[in-house]
Amino acid sequence: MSDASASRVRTGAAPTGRHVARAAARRLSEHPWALPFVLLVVAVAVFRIANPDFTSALNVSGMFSFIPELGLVALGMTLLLTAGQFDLSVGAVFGFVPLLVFILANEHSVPLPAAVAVGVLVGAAIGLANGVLVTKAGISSFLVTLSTMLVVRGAALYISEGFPQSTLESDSSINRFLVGTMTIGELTVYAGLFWFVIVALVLAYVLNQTRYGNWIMAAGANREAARARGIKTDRVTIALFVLAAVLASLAGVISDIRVGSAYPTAGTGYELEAIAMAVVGGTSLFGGLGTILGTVIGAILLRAIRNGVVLVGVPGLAYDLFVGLIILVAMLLQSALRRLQVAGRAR
Amino acid sequence: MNAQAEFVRMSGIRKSYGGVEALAGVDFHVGTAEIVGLVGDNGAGKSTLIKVLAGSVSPDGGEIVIRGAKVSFGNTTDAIAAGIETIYQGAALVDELSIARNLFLGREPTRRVLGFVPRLDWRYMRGESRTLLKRMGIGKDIDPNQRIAGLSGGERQSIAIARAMFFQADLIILDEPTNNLGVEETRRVLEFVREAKAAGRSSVFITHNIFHVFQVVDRIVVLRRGQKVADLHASETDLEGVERLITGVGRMSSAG
Repeated sequence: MSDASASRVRTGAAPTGRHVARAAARRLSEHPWALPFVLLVVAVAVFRIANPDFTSALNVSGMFSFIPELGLVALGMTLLLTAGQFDLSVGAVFGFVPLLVFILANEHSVPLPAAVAVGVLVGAAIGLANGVLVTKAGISSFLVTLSTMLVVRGAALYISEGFPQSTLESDSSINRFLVGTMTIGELTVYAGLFWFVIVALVLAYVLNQTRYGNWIMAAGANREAARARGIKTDRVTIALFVLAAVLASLAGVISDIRVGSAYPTAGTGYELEAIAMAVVGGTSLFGGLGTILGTVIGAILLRAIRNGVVLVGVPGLAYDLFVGLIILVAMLLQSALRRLQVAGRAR
Repeated sequence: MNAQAEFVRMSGIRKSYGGVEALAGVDFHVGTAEIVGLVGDNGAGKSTLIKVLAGSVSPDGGEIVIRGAKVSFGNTTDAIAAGIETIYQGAALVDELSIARNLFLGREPTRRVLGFVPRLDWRYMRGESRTLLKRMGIGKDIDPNQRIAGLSGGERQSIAIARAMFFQADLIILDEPTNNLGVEETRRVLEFVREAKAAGRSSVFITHNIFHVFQVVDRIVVLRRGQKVADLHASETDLEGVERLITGVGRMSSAG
């Protein structure tokens, strides 16, 4: 801020448009979530103009029923990225755990709450395996989680024999807890949204206000320095892998109970979309910088883009093409902003 | 030998990396409130010796005794708990974090909100950071919430030193503390080492720059190819003599 105004003084006369833009961009770069927020506002405005139905109660309700599920996965991913790691197996866990829960409930008459508990524990164990392999065996998280992704996805196909598990034969009270709905005005809100908001608030607090947050950022930014200060970086990393897997498990369970069936291929590609949400939101792919608020905005933005592209009438087969291009533009803006920030520091 | 109480004694420290012997049975001790300069050419074993003392490298052989009790460091936390703080070359700060977060990294003060929710004690962290920055002479217009990335090399070094000072280490290891520092910043680092001595703390000063060593140290230890080739009181030698010992040219016979 101060050097922006200094450069204005140096040029003497009225500030030029470029200076104003630079100063604004620099201020924007101090809040990594600000850019995705601006993009979200722009996207909503454009889609709304192109098709007024975009902001209809029905459409908004629909969007917000999807957001929490991928959003929960993205929240776990955000903390992992902040600690300098990522997890490619979360999409597979998202598909595998609910499948396990459905099989336990349907074929072995396990009460649903117990089946969910078992499922989440299995998810946690997968996260633990990821974390231990990455930290103790010293293999990169890319290779470890690529392998566990295949193992978990393969296990899902095997135990289901490739067929989806249909309707859950249970009207347990846990259903309302996970997928109950509430009507606010014309909006129908699923319980998943509340879980998403609660988890986001807790994780944002942990990241910014507690010592664990300090350790997570230090582990991602400068692992050696963190270790030299006595921080148990391995333990921090393992805990985050467990958290990411647990959140993916819960998200999968919520999603499949809501839909009513569990597909062995559910969650395919979610790991990459979760990373995209976090990075568009302002979290660094290289560790040390993470923003939960940014990921929340990123999750809404990516969902709005997916939904809006359909509503403005992009042909079905060109859908991914457009979504990919828009995400790419968002990433380019984010990285341009970061470069500006680094240049500002160097001065 | 000096008459001061001994803080740490390392004896017969050995360490090899593959076939290369980095330390071939080195004895090294530091007295209480003593400043020891550790000098030697690149690859002489200075860094390895200091890493053993800081707990980040475990030796193949030899023992470490602190205040008369044998210790064994499994990691840096153990060494920190024993009162040994290391200020590494390049300062080992986390660029992405603020000054306050760096100063208290690993030992963050917390408070309980509503009696049970832990939270960083921001008021304490920022207040102490300001006081420390002022004491290090860089407090004028630096905000403790500022990221480390925007600071100069000297400011970083000062912050790393402030950290060691704040946590009241008994022995402060400074690994090339004056590298890349300006004249004024170097002066401040040397002043700090003297202040630490006045406060009864010990320091080990590792450097290439023998000029700086001679300005502050009580004793000079010279390593060459993993062995100690000299252990001299600063008054017993001079720049030229130490230089000869480091390079091994025209070896001095009074060593030890």
